[in-house]
Amino acid sequence: MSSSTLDFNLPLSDILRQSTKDAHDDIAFSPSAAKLSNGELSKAAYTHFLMMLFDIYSALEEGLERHASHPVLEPIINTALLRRAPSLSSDIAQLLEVPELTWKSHPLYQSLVSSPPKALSTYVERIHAISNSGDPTPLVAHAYVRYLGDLSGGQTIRHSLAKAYDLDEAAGEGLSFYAFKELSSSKPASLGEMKRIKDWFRNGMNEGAGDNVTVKVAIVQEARDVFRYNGDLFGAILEHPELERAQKDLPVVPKAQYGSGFAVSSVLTVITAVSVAHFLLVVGGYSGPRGFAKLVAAEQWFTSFWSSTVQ
Amino acid sequence: MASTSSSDVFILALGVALAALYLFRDSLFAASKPKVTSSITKSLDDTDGNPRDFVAKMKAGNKRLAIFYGSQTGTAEEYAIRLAKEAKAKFGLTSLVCDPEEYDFETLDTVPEDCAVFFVMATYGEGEPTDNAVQLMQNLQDDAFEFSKTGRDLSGLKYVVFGLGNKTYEHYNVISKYVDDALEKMGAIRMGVRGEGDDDKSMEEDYLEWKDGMWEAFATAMGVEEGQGGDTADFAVRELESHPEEKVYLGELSARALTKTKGIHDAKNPYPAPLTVARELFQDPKDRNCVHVELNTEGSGITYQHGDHVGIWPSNPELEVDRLLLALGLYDKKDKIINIDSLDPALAKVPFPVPTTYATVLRHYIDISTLAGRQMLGTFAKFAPNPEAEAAIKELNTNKEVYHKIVADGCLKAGEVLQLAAGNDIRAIPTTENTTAWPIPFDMIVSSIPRLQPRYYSISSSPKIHPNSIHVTCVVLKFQSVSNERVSERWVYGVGSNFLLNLKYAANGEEAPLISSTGVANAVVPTYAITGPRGAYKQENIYKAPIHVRRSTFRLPTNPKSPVIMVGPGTGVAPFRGFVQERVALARRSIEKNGPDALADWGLITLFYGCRKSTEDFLYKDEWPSYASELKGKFVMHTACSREPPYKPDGSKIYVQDLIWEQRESVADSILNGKGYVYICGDAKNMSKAVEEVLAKILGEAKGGSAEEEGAAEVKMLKERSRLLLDVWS
Repeated sequence: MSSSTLDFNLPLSDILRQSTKDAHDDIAFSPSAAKLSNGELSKAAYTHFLMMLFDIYSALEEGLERHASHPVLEPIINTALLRRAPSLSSDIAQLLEVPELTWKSHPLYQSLVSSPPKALSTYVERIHAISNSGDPTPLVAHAYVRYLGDLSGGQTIRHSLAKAYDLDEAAGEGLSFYAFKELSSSKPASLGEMKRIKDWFRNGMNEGAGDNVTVKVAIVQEARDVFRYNGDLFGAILEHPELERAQKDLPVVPKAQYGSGFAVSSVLTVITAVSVAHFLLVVGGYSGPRGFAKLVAAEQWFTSFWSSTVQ
Repeated sequence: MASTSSSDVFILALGVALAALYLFRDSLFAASKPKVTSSITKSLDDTDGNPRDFVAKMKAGNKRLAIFYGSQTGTAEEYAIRLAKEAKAKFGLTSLVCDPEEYDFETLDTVPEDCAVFFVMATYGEGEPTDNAVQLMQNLQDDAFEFSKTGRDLSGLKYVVFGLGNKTYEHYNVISKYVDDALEKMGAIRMGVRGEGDDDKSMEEDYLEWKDGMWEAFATAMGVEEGQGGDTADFAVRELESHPEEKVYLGELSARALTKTKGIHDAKNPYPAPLTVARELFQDPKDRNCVHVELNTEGSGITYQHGDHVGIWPSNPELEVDRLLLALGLYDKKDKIINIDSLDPALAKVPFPVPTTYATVLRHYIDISTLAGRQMLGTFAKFAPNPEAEAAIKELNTNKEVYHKIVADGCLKAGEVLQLAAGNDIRAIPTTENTTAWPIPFDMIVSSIPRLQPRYYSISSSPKIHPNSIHVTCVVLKFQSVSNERVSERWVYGVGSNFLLNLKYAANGEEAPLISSTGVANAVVPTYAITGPRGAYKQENIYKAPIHVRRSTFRLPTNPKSPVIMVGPGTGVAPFRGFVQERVALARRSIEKNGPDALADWGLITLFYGCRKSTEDFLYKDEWPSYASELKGKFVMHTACSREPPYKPDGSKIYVQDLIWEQRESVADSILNGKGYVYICGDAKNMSKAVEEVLAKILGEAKGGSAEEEGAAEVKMLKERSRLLLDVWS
């Protein structure tokens, strides 16, 4: 729908719903989304995806908190309920089976930091740019697209993810990203309550934007971009063929550790060695959820051994 | 690197890989969970035929019910399992609980006559089936789909439908209706009415309201009678003649704890944290104690945030362990090694690690210190040692009033009820002579008494000041039961807090005092096996407690400019000590970076605290002034001492809510103008309510309206934006 046909006198939430429906559906029915929601991504790829989300939410939530008393933002601020970065951090640690303090030094995250996919850096940089500009109102669009998505579609994939990655659903381990608290208490929210949370959020957006057409236009325009950022981010999941399920969950070899300075033949040798190790580990029965931890551990150990030996 | 030839690198890498394989071989085996599948269940599951044929599976397993669940988030699956449990408890019928995705439906027309099929179906989104029920729905609704023998005829098939939906969405519960319509159209017979649960509001009540009528119709249609089920065991307990001693669980809480392998520490693998400090907090601990414990987490990988909870895993007091062992006649073989298998792992998992021993189960794994539930008494009655005991326990089981008066108000644990029913003296130290043995099968005990759970405490420190130490502030729970004609008044002790008190005495080498002043004979502070399984919780003079951290949303705003109001009387102050420390740490950093005026634009941090007397139970009295001085006037504390002057003009006690009212101007300013945050921690029933009321009054008046309207709206808004957060208990 082009913006010319939009009625900017409507409440912001209605305009957003109309203006982003197609963009939403494009993403919701994309091949990447299907792979994610069916639990078809390898555990490493899923973890990698959560790490990208962690960077995005960290930037977003830092911005929202900084501008919490901005009149347009204030009605949608509910840090204790919405904030996702801490739960992502906890889930990532759980999936990697490492203490929460240490996952950021994991090769999988280090590779993301040293060479982030374009889709991720564009997205994060945009959030920072808005936060640091004089007008933080477009942050509403970022919060809208992410949080309402998590409160809707996120809930339907929780169960299949738990099954795919052997997570204890009752205990919620590794699944806290999909858990919200109730609006007025600290009890966990049911699906009905999540609907109320979404209504509360939409009302908050409407209250914050009020009749200010300029604000509405800015948020609506940003929302379209946010959908595009998210579509590209989904695409980035598929950019790493080495993270596909077929690879038996072997995490990517961190590029940083084998930077320039090594002859191509040496790098190839390393890859061969890793492949042999991979073969042995797989044959040795290191598959499945427990095996994942072993592989990560083995790989880390291998890496540290390597770097200490070749110095 | 350059001097190393390619082939060397390859061989080196191969060696490394092989070494890794070798190294992780052990931990691989150790880490694998002790999988217990009973031989009986195994043989049942090994059907030779098509694994997607549920009828063949039912026949092979002698199951008379197949329960299919269309589940997206897991709720329908939970209800399917509940129905299976109830069918077993009521009628002794076992079920196959099935994910419809894993089966084909061609054989739906061959379900034997004495069997039935249940459908527990969630409706999703805009009236869609859940992903795992798409095929099932297609098969039921598509006229081109033919069953194995009869085409589209299901006459004679008995079925039950329960739907899960959400009234806030359109198309409420349509999937269960579609299932019902399709089956009815093909001649199948529904037992009872179709159940519909509303996930938005009343799922549980909807289910309870529906199920009794359904089971009645079910019993008639199936020709079964209630009461056939009671004795069906969930578990099989076997005594093992020999088992490697090092593989027996003696209270270890995880496989890693038993094998001493490393792994992350969480609720499934608690960390035995050394107590570095354990001290009394009350200035005058006459008959009340409050324990401050510092748990060292260095090297454990455990991290926490201010406001998080720590779960401490206690054991049961030794007196109660002995009492129940004696009442079950297991005292002489208490250390016998036993294995426990689930007879139907889909319905009931063995709730603790095995193999283990009788004494270990009672000491570490099940909650024998909790109030004996009415239902378990009915199970126990069948194994009474004599007719008098049977009559006595049956009365407690069937007569709600008597149960309430004698057992509930008398605070009787399972062991005590058995003693009381058998006419034993529950106040004497239990021995073989004074305790009658009830031959209750141990599997019934495992089924009836819930798992011993960790006790959660609000952490009273900040990781910014104490990165490797978790502080716990715990008032010791001890109260007297209400006396009745059969049980006179006794001391009742909280399990977790007295466990900590025991640890405190041991850590300091103190003698636990006898409680004789109250005149109750034999009443002493209960003792616990605090050295842990195989002495794992004691190292020289250092004691350890198994812990894990539970995340909470009870957190300060990141921005220190936001004013903060904290209300925490009694041990409700615990998380606020952590909050204040958090701000002190931030203040130190800010001042170091930006000079002495760094806190000038900070919001006010106000703490409302309450205790009985400033000389008796004022928690952390000596710490607050130093926090205040480091926070340069940004921290203000108001303390209500209820049992010392000043009193109100009418002589009544002053509580935190009264102090909040006194400070109404600054409170209103912090919330309305400063966009501040309010935190309440402590008793849910009285204090927290009273505080919310006074807040509504203050905010209502400040907005020029009333407490009931403007005030209540403001409080609601604060809650909805998580600017009013509660950490309360009842």
